[in-house]
Amino acid sequence: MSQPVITVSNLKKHFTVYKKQPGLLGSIRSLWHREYETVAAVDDISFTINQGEIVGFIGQNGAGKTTTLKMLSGLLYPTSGSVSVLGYNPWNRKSAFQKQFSLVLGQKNQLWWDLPAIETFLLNQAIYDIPEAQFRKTLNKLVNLLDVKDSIQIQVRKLSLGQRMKCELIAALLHNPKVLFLDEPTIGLDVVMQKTLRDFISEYNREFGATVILTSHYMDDVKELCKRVIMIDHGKKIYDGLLSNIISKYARNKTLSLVFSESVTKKSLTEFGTVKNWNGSSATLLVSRKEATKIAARLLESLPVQDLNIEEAPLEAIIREVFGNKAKSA
Amino acid sequence: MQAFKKYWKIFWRFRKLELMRMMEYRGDFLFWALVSILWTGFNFFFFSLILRVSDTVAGWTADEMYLLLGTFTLLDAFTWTFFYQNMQRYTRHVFTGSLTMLLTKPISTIFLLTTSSNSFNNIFRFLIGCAAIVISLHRMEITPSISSVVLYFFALMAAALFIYAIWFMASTLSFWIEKLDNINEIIPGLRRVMQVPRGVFAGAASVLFTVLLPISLVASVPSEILLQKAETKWVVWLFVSSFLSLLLARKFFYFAIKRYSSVGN
Amino acid sequence: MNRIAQQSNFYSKVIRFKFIKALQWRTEMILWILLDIFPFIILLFIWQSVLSLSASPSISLPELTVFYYLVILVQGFTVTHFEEYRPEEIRMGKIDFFLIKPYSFIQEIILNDIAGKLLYILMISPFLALLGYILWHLGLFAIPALTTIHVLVFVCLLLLAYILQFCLSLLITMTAFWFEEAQGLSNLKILVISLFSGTLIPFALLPEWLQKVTNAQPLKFLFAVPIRLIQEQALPTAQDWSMLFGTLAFLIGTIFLLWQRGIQKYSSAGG
Repeated sequence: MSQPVITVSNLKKHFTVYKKQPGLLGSIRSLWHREYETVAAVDDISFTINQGEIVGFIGQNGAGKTTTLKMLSGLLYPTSGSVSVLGYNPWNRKSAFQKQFSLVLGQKNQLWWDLPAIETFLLNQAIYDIPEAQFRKTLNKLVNLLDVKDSIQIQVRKLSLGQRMKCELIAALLHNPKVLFLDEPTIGLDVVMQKTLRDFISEYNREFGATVILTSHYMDDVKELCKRVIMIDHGKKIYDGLLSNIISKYARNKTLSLVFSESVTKKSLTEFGTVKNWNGSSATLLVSRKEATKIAARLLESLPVQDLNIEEAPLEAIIREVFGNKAKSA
Repeated sequence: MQAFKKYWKIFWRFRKLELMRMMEYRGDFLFWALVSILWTGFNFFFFSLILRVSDTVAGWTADEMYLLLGTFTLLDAFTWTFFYQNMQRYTRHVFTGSLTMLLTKPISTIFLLTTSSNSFNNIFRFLIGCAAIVISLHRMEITPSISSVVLYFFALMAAALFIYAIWFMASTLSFWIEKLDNINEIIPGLRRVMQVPRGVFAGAASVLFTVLLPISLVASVPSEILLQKAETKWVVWLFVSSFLSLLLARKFFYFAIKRYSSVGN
Repeated sequence: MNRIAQQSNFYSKVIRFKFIKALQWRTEMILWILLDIFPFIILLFIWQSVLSLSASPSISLPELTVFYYLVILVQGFTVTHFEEYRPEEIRMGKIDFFLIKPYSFIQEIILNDIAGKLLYILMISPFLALLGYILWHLGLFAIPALTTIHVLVFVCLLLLAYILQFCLSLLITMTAFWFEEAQGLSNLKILVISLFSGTLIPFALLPEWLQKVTNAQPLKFLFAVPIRLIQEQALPTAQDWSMLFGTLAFLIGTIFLLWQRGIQKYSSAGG
């Protein structure tokens, strides 16, 4: 159950980008003279992922998440370092390897736009050499899980974004890939649809023991699906471990929610911590993580507290803070 | 053999998909079919204007010219049926970075890129081309032998493959040059060279268009085969250059892929 | 007065912006230029081989060369292509942005095209000059003796031919409100213009019926009239001028009518 499926060591990818100066003069000058700049999109990243894991890649736009996924898929040649997926070197692009993994890019589609999705599925059956019986079985299962029985007969361009994404997923999973790279699979979808897709991914992972790497802007995706996360910032890995440990590692504050039996002044609260909300009969306080319990005890003693709750700061806020600090110190 | 069967199957599945798509947009198909017929007629008309000034073009009589134009029409119809849309998509894949999706599939990327699409708009031009050939042969009272018809057919295939190879190479340039939406107009831009007798080009131009980049052979040589005035060395060169350019196109593509860095992140 | 200054300031800013945008496509433009010039060179080869075998040619190679050279020149200075992609913007509902801004879709098309045209002219001119020089060296370029009047009228005709081309493209664009295949009409436009505006071969070599058809309709102002002005020193007659301006007035009127109707249909179709 736990031999490494993906091994990445000292992976680097540098891009050369061209800088255009602003304005008409800049445009004309760039006819003769261009300035280039090297950007390290991925800068010395190493990790291993075991079979059956779902790992979340977290990072801001341009942090290097997609670039890493593309190198794992064999689409980009690394500047240096090595990658092994299922024992293959991805950029040899062997058919045997390609038949065992799938890449889903939330912002790009592989379905034929003018035809029903089922046609693309049949095409993929031929491309991936999927035997008829297995194809029918997998298709049925996926269609039922995602509840798209009717949609697959309708022209793709007439489907809603959510239905289309479901069909994209089916197209990517028909050959039962052992490794699945999902790049922003829920982008642009509504909350209900995001939830459906999440449940589906988790179900697929359990059923087929597939290894999944997921990048997403939506923290909910990561929170629900991934036990382990890898945080990437400016091409560097800054955290790799359990999602739950992020909180103990990075969170400095906890939130105390208070409800009072009689009105309390704002001033009487400031000595305990930072007042975030206050309306007389209830309040929320931000207090240091270490002293949260002590402060809570003191509050119960000195104020007419009816109800008290100690909460961890939301993950989004922590992550925003982590990247925010990084950006400032950089 | 197994692999060939797979590719054969997928090739025809693509044709089926395109046929379904065409049915979806019937009005569009009829409209473009009409446009293609009009352009073909226009082209014949243009050469009839030139032939009013003189009876021959580079020694080819009017009937011979129409046979040449018929042959060119067949090739051109084939080109627009199979190449234009695919190459258009190919460069769009490169520009938008969606080539990535194709590269992850367990099948030859060149095959996917160059066979997945086609258009049916030009099918009537095949009829016009055939008609022009048959009528001009009849007027010249030439009955070609079976062997020359077979050779004609193979020479046409070689010519089509040659056009395919140079077009594919031109499109592959899109890996290097961004903002070049008209990259697929380069080869169509050479069509004037293809539809006139190779004898039109003298001196340096002749070296260029018959030896270095033998696009003036593609319609001329097959036509000469039917007219029984083909020279062996040019027939051989058409086949050889077609084979070489296919090899080169393949090499070039893999070279391009190697240094391909997908757009965006 | 202030308003005029404000307006012209606005227009020059937009054109400047569009110019920068168009500059990004310079490689594409150079390719278009080469694709415009290349068939011309091939045509010279064809005619060379035709005339060299003809016992008593009815026209000389230099005359033909100047004719085709003028065709490219007029084409480079006047042809518009925006009907190949603008209808799509209407069909896909992308003109919403222009309906909520104090900057109409038609203004956008005009300014965008003017900037693009300016850049194209700027880029094709050195090519044309070089080509002319080479042809002149080869003794193929017989420059006719022209008076200042001829040159001035030629420049005027170029400008008017551009406006005419522009109106035709805009007319096709407007049909996109009703007609799915508006983009395809562009193809028919090029076909009809090629056939009836005198671009194929010099006017004198056309069959008589085609000469009559060409003369009887306003498409001749796109190529035949400016070219014959140079080659035959034939100034347009008063009748020609009234046909040209009448056509322009008619086209502009029709375009505005279609725009008004189209925009109503467009906004009531929303959803």
